[in-house]
Amino acid sequence: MATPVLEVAPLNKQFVLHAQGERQIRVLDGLQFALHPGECLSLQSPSGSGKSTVLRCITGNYLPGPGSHIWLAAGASRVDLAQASPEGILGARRQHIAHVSQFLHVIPRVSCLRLVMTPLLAEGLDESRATRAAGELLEALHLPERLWPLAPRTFSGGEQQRVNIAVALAASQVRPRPLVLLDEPTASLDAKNRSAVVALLKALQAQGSALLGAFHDEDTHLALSTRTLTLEEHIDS
Amino acid sequence: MSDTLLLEAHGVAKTFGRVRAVRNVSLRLCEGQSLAIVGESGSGKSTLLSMLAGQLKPDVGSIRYLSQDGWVHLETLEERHRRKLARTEWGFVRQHAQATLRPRVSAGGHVGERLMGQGARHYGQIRARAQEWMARVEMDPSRVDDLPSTFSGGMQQRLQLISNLITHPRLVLLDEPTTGLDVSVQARLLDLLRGLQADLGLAMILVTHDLGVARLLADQVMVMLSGEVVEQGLTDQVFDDPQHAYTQQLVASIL
Amino acid sequence: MNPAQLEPPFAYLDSQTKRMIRRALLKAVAIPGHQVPFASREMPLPYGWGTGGIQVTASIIGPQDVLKVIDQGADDTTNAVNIRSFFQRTTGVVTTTLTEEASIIQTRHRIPETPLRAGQTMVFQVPIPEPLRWIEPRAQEARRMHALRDYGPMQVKLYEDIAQHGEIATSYDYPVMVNRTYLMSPSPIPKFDNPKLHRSPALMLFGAGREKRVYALPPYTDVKSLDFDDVPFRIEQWNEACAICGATDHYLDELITDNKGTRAFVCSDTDACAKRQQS
Repeated sequence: MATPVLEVAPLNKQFVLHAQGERQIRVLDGLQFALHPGECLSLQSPSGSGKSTVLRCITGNYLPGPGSHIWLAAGASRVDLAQASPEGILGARRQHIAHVSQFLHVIPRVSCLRLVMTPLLAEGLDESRATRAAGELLEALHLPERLWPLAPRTFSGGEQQRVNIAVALAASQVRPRPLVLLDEPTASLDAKNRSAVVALLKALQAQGSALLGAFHDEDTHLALSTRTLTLEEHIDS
Repeated sequence: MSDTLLLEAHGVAKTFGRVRAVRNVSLRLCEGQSLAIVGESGSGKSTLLSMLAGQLKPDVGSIRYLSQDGWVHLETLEERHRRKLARTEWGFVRQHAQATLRPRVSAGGHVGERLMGQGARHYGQIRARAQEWMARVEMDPSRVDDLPSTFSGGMQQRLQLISNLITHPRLVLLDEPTTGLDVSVQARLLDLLRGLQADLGLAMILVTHDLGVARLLADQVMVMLSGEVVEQGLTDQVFDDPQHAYTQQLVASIL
Repeated sequence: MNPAQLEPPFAYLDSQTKRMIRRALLKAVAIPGHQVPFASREMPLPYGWGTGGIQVTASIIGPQDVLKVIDQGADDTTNAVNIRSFFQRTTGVVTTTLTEEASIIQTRHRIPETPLRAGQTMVFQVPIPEPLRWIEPRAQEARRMHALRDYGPMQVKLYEDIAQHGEIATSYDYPVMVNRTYLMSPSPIPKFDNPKLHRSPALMLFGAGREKRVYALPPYTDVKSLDFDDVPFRIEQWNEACAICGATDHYLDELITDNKGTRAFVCSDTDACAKRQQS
């Protein structure tokens, strides 16, 4: 079997709420799994929590707990994201991971076209090619052209999410990222837009990207997943 | 952004009388990186910034900066060299532009001052460069001869900013650059800062009590309390998954 | 001993004081343009009347010297007359109004039109020796600026003049760079006279009594008036000639000659004017 793109061995995570008398919430305890190119692993959780935590620990948005190791095959080397320096994590985010978050977190006051163009420019495309590629991506997601020059702050939830997805996957249109993380990517979308997103993700999968996702809706889960992983219930002490 | 280390502080401390303003702070900053130092009044963040800018000498510890001519140690730096660095490779933006801008010097005079300090002697060229930079931060270039009092607070801040940037500094230090400005003015100034930081590849150290500003501008953040760093790391991680009790309290206090 | 029988020492100052001032002057000559502090003495004139210049002259004058004293270019104004007679009484030296005959020329606010030669010494009366005074009011910071050659703010001031007035507005006490090193105030001479300082064969000494500073330009020192490449330094020009001697290359004073407001332009340098008339 090919080398796993991602090897979580293990992932521990607990939260300590100092304001609540040091209340500890252990969300993940000894989670282990591996992900290979072309796979799409779907995270399931009976209690509803933990999926987002797994994804956030991988991107470094949450600090993985002590003893965690998150191996990412990065180019010719492997890096342990759980032990990496802040610069290392920033580098991994930029170069090796595409992350579709659940909600749009973008810099305010920038047009959605410019938001999508920015990672394309960073990939080396010039202004005109980046503009074209960004437009193609927004079109593939059925975002009307009249919205492109506007900042997404005032968009509907579904429109914002499509911008979010476009921004997250833009760089991968130039160079597919080995790891794609998806946190409820289609939760706010209707059927037509959901299939557009699925098509984009399937294309990445076909190019060898490994997908790891928390999918709320059944359609997307069925369309993409090659495997499922159920997280244990968390421990609250 | 590169991995070239630009500024490194080690075990820095500063005491004023019986007040230990800064105790045992260390940090590393690479080229093109941005770091926010957040904390409330009295946390020591401004004192720390002054030391990083070479304006104040630490009582203990070392601070070194990679200049064009190699590593320099700020705690032993000669005034002559400090001034030269402060006028060329460094920028310092203060909270109140009035503290820096001289009332009888025009916009062009302020922006061109660093150039003149370096020996620039062509009036027309100096003025033209000043106008270029004014346009770059959305100021009306035809106002190049206007005095600072004729500009709004937000414009004065932009003036202070470009007066620093004209020599393409590699490191810019900012002390509450948008505090006190109207919200919409703040927003536009932050946008400008972010854009300039990306365009010019500036390394930035930003002191602020506003977590939103830190999120917008800085890759990494240091949280200070009573002179000490209680938490540091990637900005989104520190604010979304705060470990220290004080950070959790700070984050929870955002209105 | 009857106080009336006590005579003042040669040139009024005691020899210790002269030695102290000469030492300061030597240091000043060694560092052209650099202001050297000295222990300014009480003189029989109040501050503001040339006590600095008088102390410098008193320290260097000898019995063989020939002294000329001018005030705004004229030998016959009250100040010039008073100072000249002071030195006559305390030294007995020969005095003159002819520039070329003098070995020491004490001046307030002008340099003679007649070119100076090697062996002559000009002594300038200086009110404010610090050229950065109006730009940096803190004395300590101004000294640091000189030490670090940190003269950007002065250039900014000239920039502002051009921005606000279309030209550099300073017309007297125009700042100069000495030896490409120190920024210096040439004393309130009109900028017309600045070029005369550049590589002059004469020794130039500057004395500020109230501010207690001396500075100097040894002969043949480079002295350049500050300007911009595209807004170069220019001296004053007049459309008129001197009403008395017809000179067109002398500094002219504008005089009102009668109650109707009639104006005449007349040479400021009385000696040069007289010479021109004769030729």
